[in-house]
Amino acid sequence: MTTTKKWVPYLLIALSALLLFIFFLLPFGQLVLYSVWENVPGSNIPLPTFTLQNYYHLLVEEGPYYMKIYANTLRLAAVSTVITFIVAYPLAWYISKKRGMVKSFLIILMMLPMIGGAMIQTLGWIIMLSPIGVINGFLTSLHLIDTPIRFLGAEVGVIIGLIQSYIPMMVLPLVTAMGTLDPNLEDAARSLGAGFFTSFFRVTVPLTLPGAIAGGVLVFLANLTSFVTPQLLGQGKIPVFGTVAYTQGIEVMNYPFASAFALFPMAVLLVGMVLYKLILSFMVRSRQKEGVAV
Amino acid sequence: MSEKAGRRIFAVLSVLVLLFTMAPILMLFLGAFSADNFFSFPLRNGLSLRWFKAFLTSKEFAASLRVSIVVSLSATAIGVGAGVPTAFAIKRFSFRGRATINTMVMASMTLPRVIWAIALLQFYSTLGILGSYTGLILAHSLLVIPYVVRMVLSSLSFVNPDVENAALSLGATPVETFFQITVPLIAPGVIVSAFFGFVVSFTDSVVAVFISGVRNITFPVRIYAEQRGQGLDLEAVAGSAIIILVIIVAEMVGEKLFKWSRFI
Repeated sequence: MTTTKKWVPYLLIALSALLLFIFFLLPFGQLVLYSVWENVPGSNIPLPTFTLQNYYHLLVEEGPYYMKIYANTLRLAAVSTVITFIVAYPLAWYISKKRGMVKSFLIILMMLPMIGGAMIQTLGWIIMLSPIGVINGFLTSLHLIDTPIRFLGAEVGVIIGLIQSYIPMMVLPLVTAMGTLDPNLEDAARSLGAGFFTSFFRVTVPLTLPGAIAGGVLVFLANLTSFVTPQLLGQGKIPVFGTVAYTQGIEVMNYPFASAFALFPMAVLLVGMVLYKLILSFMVRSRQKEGVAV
Repeated sequence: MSEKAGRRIFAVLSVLVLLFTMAPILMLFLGAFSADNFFSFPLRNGLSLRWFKAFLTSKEFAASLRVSIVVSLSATAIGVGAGVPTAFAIKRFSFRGRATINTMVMASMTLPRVIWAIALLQFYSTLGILGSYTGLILAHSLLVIPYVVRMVLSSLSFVNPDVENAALSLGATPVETFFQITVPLIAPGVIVSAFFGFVVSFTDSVVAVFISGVRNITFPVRIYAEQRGQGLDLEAVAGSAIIILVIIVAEMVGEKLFKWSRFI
């Protein structure tokens, strides 16, 4: 549309831009600022003096404690992501082979966790995993166990909840990736003598790996920053990034420190991404020098 | 491994994973019908509707439902009002800042919600609007906008711009063209995204827990507050079961009417 006035697109995006600026950019700006301002106990407005005290407290004074929390969060997120990755593959493959109404129905079914939201899923898990819940009650009534298995308030419960929450986030991109695969490839593998699993692991998986890894990264990020699931399934006993952020922000109300706590992992992530891009471009350039097709 | 055996195994695995994914929601329905005072398995006193009744007569839950519906409806309205023009601008125009607005909209969806919630908490606290209806609605509108933009962008890619150009060449003004040609064509996509946006806003627990304060408690926050106490609150379970059922039915109706799973 080249005949319309120049300001039209700006008018169209005005509302979104305004909302994003006020309620997305500004809060983050304040978060960064507060992380280097000095906390005033009892007040929610910190002193606008530049100080590294918050980060010092986070990384040095209480370094071991908070590093352990970050490390625990990473560990739980990694375990959950890997398991989600593995269990998502068969399901994605199965769904991608279906067509039409069946496929839509399966997709909707599988998206239930996302539709329900974290709170509702967690309620269901409490019913399943509680000491007098479905799993323990079932095993006890069959006299398979004497004392109930402790799922809640333990890492096991949190991991189970995290895995289930993000299966859709892993399966959906995988289904899309598998949908773009040339079906002749699997047939070709078969005609060359490959069995079902050989063809799956040697052809399907490697070709869909990029999409799977993209999904995996999203799932990992979601696991890292999860709040409701660890809070309720961990019953406050499993401190991870999300739960500690909540404690610092709402209960302790030390905003500068809470900001530093929240921003530190993001800073690390940013540095990591920049390094990754640098290394990648370095590798590409060195291959170009060798004359290898990139 | 024969083809058939392999497929069979994967089918079984898939069903198991699917059941695992749906398990919590199925359990919700189990718990909601329990006749006991607290949930234990096996069910001691059989089934009953008492918790549904308790939920439907609970003043706190009724209030929280009212808040959630008002907030989510408003947020969705704003989200659609902001998102549709934005998607249209991104798709049909080239202008300085096009990439920026596109990135920012997508970033607001992929950024970890907890971190945003903390930033909002502090921001609202500074502005003194912590716990306000307006603050909640405006924050939630940012939850809705990315979904609207994404789905409308996808819908627009199915609309041939020549159709719009034809209308323009026949003398229609751009505004007339937009409302009489483009809008009807993207309407299903807009409706889907509005539904999704509403559900995302309605079921949001993270942002609301941080900024809804003490007075305007949304439905998920009310559930959260009940769980902090002792044991499992079966009223909340019954309520959640009802809400999930409503969402599923609405989703199926929408699928029947609009076939909207193609937009995902």
